[in-house]
Amino acid sequence: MKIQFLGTGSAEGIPAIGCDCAHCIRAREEGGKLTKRRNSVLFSLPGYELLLDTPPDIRASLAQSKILRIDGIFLTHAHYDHTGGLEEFLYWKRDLDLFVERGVYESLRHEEWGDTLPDIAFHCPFHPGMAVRFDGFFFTPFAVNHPVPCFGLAIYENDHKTIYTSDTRNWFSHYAYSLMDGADLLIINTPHFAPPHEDHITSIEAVELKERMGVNRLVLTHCNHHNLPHDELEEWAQGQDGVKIAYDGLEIEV
Amino acid sequence: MKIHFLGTGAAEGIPVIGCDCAHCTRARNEGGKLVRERNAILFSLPGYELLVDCAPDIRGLVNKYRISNLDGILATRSRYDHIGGIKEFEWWPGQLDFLAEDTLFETIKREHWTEALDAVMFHIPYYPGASLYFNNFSIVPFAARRQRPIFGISVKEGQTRVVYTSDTPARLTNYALRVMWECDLLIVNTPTFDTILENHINVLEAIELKDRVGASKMILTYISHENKPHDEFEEFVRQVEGVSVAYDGMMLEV
Repeated sequence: MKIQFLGTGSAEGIPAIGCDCAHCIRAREEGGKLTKRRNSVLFSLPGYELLLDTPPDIRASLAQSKILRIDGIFLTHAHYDHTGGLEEFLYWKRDLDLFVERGVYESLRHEEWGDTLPDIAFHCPFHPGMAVRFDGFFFTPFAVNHPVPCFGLAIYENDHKTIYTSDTRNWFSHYAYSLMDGADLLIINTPHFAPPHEDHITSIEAVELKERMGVNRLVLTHCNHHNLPHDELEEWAQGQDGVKIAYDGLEIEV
Repeated sequence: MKIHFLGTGAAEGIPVIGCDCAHCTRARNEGGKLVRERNAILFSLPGYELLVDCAPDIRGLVNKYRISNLDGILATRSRYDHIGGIKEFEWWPGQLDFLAEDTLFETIKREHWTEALDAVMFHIPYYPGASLYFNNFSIVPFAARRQRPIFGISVKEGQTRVVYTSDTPARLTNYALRVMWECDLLIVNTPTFDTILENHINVLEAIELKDRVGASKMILTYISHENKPHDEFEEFVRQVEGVSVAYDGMMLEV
């Protein structure tokens, strides 16, 4: 499958609104990979295009990457930086499947939607630990540790296992560890570079996790302006084994 | 697997109560394949006899086709023509599994259930997208794109995949389309021939669907008196490759 990283920034994006830190100033002046939109990933599966998260920047991200086909949307949790752009799909021309856990869906639902958005994006509830079966591939959602209910997913396709954790503390269920074990690719949201950080696993801890789980490839995304600027982060990643830093527009194959 | 169409009529059956249209009059006078009882299909799977839907006519059908071995009943929706005969099973000599999604089961319990059924039926909830694994076959339910809970199923035995849509509109979820992709047999409920209905796919739309998902074969069932009488219907489908129309009592091996 092909994976496109549409937005690779953390909650505030980079540059952060009104921020005059060195990282944000560089991002404003130099642009390029230093700039990071909020979190979204497109998984191109056989006969099915699955968009993960609809951040406030989703309209711009889809326009930039010229994406015209999406079959389903998977939402990880009800935080603005992950779902704030869902209503952009009021203007989407075709039908969508909306994979969201029931409780998350309830907290997302706005009265102003009426029946319009639910009619475009048909709610397909998922249950953690219960694989959603397609013919030829499937994905298994799993719960992670975050201040609000949040779900990662394991995608099994063509004998490859890809794990995406979404926003999580560096403390997983044994169930999640068992899914990660021996995965071909691990994608982890690491806003900050180094511990201690309570609510989010950091870049350094993610590399430790990769080693412990015997995973070959790790991609770090959802990085914020407190993390290293993209070029420095890449330089650091080059010194690690099998670690890549996502940037807006990065495409990889699994 | 063996598939036995017990009832192939839409909600009202053919002839319709008190109806003097040409189709119903012919059905009353000529009988045979012109007569259609309400919806019920028996799937004979390895070691498991699964009745899909339980029409008000079920007692007559089970007697007529001398069915004495049943393991489970799967409900696709809670309306009378699909589940109205469930009370007949109060007198079933033995136990049965009752496969129904949770919210569907709540409605069925409220509107069609009796205490006596609790002694016969063992409720097994199913979840759209999640495979229900049996010893050597599996069932993946999927939601029809309607506000009320209605579910189709994909039954897989070995490499053979049969998809039954139940009461679905022509507008399907992308997930359902993906589940149908290149299946061996698609069974579609098409009450009308070319009348466009919001809640039901018609015959012409079903033929487009077959081509769109690349299904090898298609059987049309759940036929109403507004559709063609069986003989004219058969004449029509003879000209359409891989398409046939079910009649009460029709049996096939897939």
